[in-house]
This record gives sequence, structure tokens and C-alpha cells, in this order.
Amino acid sequence: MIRRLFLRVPRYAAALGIILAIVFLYKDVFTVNQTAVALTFLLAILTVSTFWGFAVSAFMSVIAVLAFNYFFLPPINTFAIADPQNWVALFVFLATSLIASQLGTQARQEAHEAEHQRMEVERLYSFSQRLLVSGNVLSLLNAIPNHIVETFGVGAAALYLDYKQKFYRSGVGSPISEEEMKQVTAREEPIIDLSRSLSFVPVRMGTRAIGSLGISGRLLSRHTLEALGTLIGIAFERARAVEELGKTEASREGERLKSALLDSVTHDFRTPLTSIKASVTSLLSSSDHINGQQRELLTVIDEECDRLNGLVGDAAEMARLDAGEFELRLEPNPIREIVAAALQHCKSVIGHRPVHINIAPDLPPVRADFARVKDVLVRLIENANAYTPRDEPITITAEVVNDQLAISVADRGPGIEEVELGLIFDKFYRGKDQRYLVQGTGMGLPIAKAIVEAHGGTIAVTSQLGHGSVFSFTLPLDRSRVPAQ
Amino acid sequence: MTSTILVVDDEPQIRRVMRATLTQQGYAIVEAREGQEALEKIRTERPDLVILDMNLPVMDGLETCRAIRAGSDVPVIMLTVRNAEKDKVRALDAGADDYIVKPFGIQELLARIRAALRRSPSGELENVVTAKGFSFDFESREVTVRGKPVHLTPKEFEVLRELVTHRGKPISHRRLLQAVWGPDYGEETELLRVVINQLRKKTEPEPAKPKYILTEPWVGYRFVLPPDSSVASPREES
Repeated sequence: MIRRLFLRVPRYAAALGIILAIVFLYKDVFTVNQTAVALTFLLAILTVSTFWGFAVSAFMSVIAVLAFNYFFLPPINTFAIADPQNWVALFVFLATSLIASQLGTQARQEAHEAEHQRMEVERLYSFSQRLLVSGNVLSLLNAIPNHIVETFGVGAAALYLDYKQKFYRSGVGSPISEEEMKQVTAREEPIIDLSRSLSFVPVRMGTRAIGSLGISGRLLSRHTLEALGTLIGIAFERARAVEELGKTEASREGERLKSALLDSVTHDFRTPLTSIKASVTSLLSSSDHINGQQRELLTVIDEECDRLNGLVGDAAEMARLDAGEFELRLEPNPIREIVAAALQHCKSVIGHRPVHINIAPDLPPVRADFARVKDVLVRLIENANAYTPRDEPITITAEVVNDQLAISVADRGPGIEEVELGLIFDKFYRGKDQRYLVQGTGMGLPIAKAIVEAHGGTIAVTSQLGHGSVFSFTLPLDRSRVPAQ
Repeated sequence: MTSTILVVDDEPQIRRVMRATLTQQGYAIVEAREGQEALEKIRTERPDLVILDMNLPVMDGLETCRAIRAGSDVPVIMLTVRNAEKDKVRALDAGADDYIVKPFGIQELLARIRAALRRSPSGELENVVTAKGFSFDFESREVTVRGKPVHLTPKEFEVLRELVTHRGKPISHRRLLQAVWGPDYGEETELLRVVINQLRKKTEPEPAKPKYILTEPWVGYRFVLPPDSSVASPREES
């Protein structure tokens, strides 16, 4: 207050000085009529009001009225007024000068406010530009309070994020309480505390508050505060989206690399396997020169060679499916043909086990990749075969269910425990009791799942402990008409 | 007369196994490590068959196969890897007669070699192909299955003739379509499927489990005859 007074006193003195200068000018230098004097006073008052405000110009108006009366209205050098007309003139003069002061001050204030708003908009703009530069979420959050302190010239700024329960601060000045920031976030309403020159605003993403911003040391307009809250919300959302995108991209790139690596490893494994397989089958086929024990050992080598090859192949296949680097050749295929091809493939594995096939002859064809669906069936049949006691049958059924073809492979094995049902389509999962009893890669069912899903179908298993399991999958039907011959 | 086989593979162990096995089977073996060398050996050694690896350094298997085809019609069997169905089609398109997937059993390779070597210079030489329960007469256009004559439509006959002529070898969809329907065809695998289904119904004892006309996934079809088949040709040469 004291400071304000010191600022004001010279202004009042200057206003007084201006009036005296005008009096001196028209009294002693030129002689002009009273109207010219009154207009000169008005001009001075108007000018002062625009720069120094209403108080000074009102004070100046009163002084001017007195001076006009004393020095220029007859009888001169007295405050008395002879002509009643001059009373009217004096009052009109006072009213005019007061109204003019008021208008001038108002114009000045409006200009000032406009200027102030322009500056805040400019600051908001430069703040938003700074926000855009920050790439990742963490550096953005750390930088926001700093940017606010620098751009808006406030004492201190703090940002609070609700989902992280974390505060980010910058600047010096009266402390911004964490409690209040949490409150603002919860109530989603800005708080402006004039006495402590503190302001809080919720940071919004859409309509929801995700945190709050606290500023101390300087009051910003409510509009600016709300704009800040929204800007920070948008910047945060943007940074997070960019980061997510980067992660997805990186993981896809990783899968691609893995697939390429596996391709090369696969090739390196296959080459020696090819030599071994060719050698051992060659020895086995020259049956005249080998005895029973030798045949048995060579057969072991041959079978293990196939198993190793299967492992390498499954690992490569899984990686390729994961990386999305495979192509489906979708064509109308009768399911009977695919089942027949799968059984043909499994002939040696199945041996003499009975296989029941329930497929109506008039089923519409499926829209599927023959080789890959055959692969799914081979894996399901081999799986059923591995877990089912000798001589128990495997049943393969196909029927139209809900406009899709449902194919199932049922066995009479030990069944699968409920806790395991959800896990068996996961990579590398093996039934816990079967892990050491049954050979396999643990990749058969996940591969089958990936292939079925790539066709837009689903795969599922139902099981009854002690009675067997049913693996079933669906494929889309082919609705296109087969062209006439 | 011993047939000479050129083995083209950059892996020395595979060449070793092939040499040991195929020599024992009575074939003469010539080796090449890469494409250029293979082309040279074909000129100088005149092999009766080429076994060509898909993955070769510098000039890959497909390129080598095309280069071989530019100057020779020696039968070519390509070695491919599993899960590369596209490679099989590309191999056939590049002019290979057959393919075999690594790792392979030697019996399978020998069967493919025999089928490829059996290929006659021209289909016209054959008159009748007969096997247990199956006979196909090119001239009279009569087909007999298990003692009963089978009536075929012209398209069915043409498809079966193409398959029987190249029996034991995979024929790609494109090649079958172009041979029977004409050069403008190639993508219409549904047409082919309908004809193949009819042929299976008319010739196979169990159409759902075909034993003559086999589906080669992604590639096409292969016609096989039981091992005791014989070929009667007017000049009695093979």
C-alpha cells in the first residue's frame, strides 16, 4: 500500500502542475476566450485519465473547475460567480470532465486487459509448443512445471497425476500443498485463492480429471488456467500414444527379428539333419547286411532325427505365426478331403487304432488354407493319439453350427484337469502328468490355435476327467458358388 | 546302362551321403557346389538327372534351374525345406520336374529319382499304362478300373491323361489348367477341383482317401500307380 501511495503522490502533483501551467499560459502569455481555456483543461484531463486512471483525473477535474472559476470567470481572482449562466457553464464543465475521465480510464483499462490477454495467449502458445517437443511421457511430466515457471513467470508450479499418485514440481515460492492438489483433482473444479496468490486447476483428458496443476506466486486468469489444464491433458495423452506406438512397433520388429533368426537357425539345423536322415534311412534300406539289434539302433536314430526336425520346424512355425509372417491361401475346400489328407499323414502314427469319422457327405466346403488346416488336424489327431490308450478309438466329427463348420477330434484319454484347460493353448505348456510320458514340443496346440484364429475361427477344448477330451475348432463356410464345369 | 546323376549342393556332407547312397544303388554320381559349376557339368558330363538344392550361394537354385532349362531338358529334382510351399510351386514353375522336402528318407528320394528317370521323351510313345486294377489307353481313350470300363467326359479324360503321362510327379494347378483348358487359364483352381473330384469318384475305390490322384497341398496333384505297374509301348523300349 505504501508503495502504491508513493507511486500516486507524484501523479497528483503532476496533475496539479499541468493545471497551473495552463492557467499561467492563458493568463500571462496569450489571452484567449473562456471556451478555449475550458477545452484545453478538458484535453489535459482526458489525456491524464488515459494514462493515470480515474482518481487522478477526477482530482484534476475538481482543481480545474476551481482554477477556471478563480482565474477566468468574472469576477476574476475570486471564487464568486456573477453571471448565473456561468454557474451552468461551470457545472457542465465539471460533468463533462468527469465523464471524459471515466471514459478515458475505461478505454485504458480495456486496452490494458486486451494487452494482458494477448500476452497470456502468447504464453499459452509458446507453452504448447514446448509441450509438443517433449517425446516421452516421463520427460514431459518432469518438464511441464519448469515450462510453466519459465513461460508464465510464476513463482512455483506443481503437477499432480492421479494414476501415478506422483507430484512434479519446479520453481521457488510458497509451497503448494499436495492435499489441495488431490482435492482439486477429486472435485474437478479450479480454485483461485487471491490472498495466498495460489491457483489450482484440474488437468483434464476429455471430461475426466486425471490430475491437477498448482501455481503460486502469480495469479493467472481463470481462462488461462483452464486452457493450461486442457493443454497438459492433451500433451500427456499425445506423449502416451506416441510411446505406446513405439512399443508396439518395437515388439513387432522384435518378432520379425526372432523369425528371421529362427529361419537361419532352422536352416543350419536342417542341413546336418538331412545328412543324418539320408544316411540312416539308406542304412536301414540295405536290409540284407544288418542284424536285429543294428536295425533297432538305426531306427532309434531315424526316429529321433524326425523328432529333432519336428522341434526345429515347430519353433520356426511358431515364430512365423507370432510375427504374422505367413500367408493363408484361402480356397473353398471340402472338409472330408482335408480330414482324409490329415489321416493319410498320420497313418504310421495311428497304426491300427480305430478312427471313427462322422462327416455328412453334403457339408458345404470351408473357406480355408488346405495345408494349414490339415496341419491343425494332424496336430489334434497326434495329440489325441499320444494321450489315449492303445485300441481306444479317436472320433472326428464335422457339422455346421451357427453358420460355421465345427470340427472336433475326440479321444478317450485320461482327460484334462480344469485348471489346465485354459493353459494348454499356451506356448510350451505341457500337461503336468504327461510331461515326461509323452513326447512333444509343447507347441502343437498353440500353433493349431494361431492357425485357426488366422482363419477367423475359434478353438476350444472340453474334457471330462477319466473319460476323455474333445478338441473342437470352427472354420468359416465358403458361400461362393463353384463355377459350373 | 547306368544313369548319371548330378548332385548340386553347397553342403559337403549332403554330397557325401548322396554319393555313398546313390552309388550303392547303381547310379554314377557327378557333383557340383554351385550353379555355374552345375551348368558346366551338365554340358561336359551330360547327366541323366539333376538333384538341385534350393539354397545355393551366388546363383540360387531357382535361377540355376531356369538356366538349366534354357539349354537342356534333363529331369531336375529340387531339394526344398519344410513350410515353404511357395518354393515348391516356384520350383515347378522354374522348370523342375519334382521336389523333395529336406530332411527326407532315402527311399522317398529313390522313388522320385526312378519316376523322374522314367519320363519318356514324349508322351506319344506310350500306348497303354496298366497297373493292378487300373488301365489307361491313350489311343482308344479307354479307361478301365478294377475290370470295369469308366466313362469320362472330355475334360476329365484330358486332366487324367496329363496326370498319367507325368505319373509320379507333381503337376501344378497352373500347368494342368493350361494343358487342358488353354493358355489363358491358370488361377481357376475351382474348375480343376470339380474335375478331380469327379475323377476320384469314378476311379478311386474310396474317393475320400484317394490312392491314385493325390493332392499336393498348395501345389497341385500327383498321379501315382501301385509299384507293379507296367507300360506297354509299341516298340517295347523304356
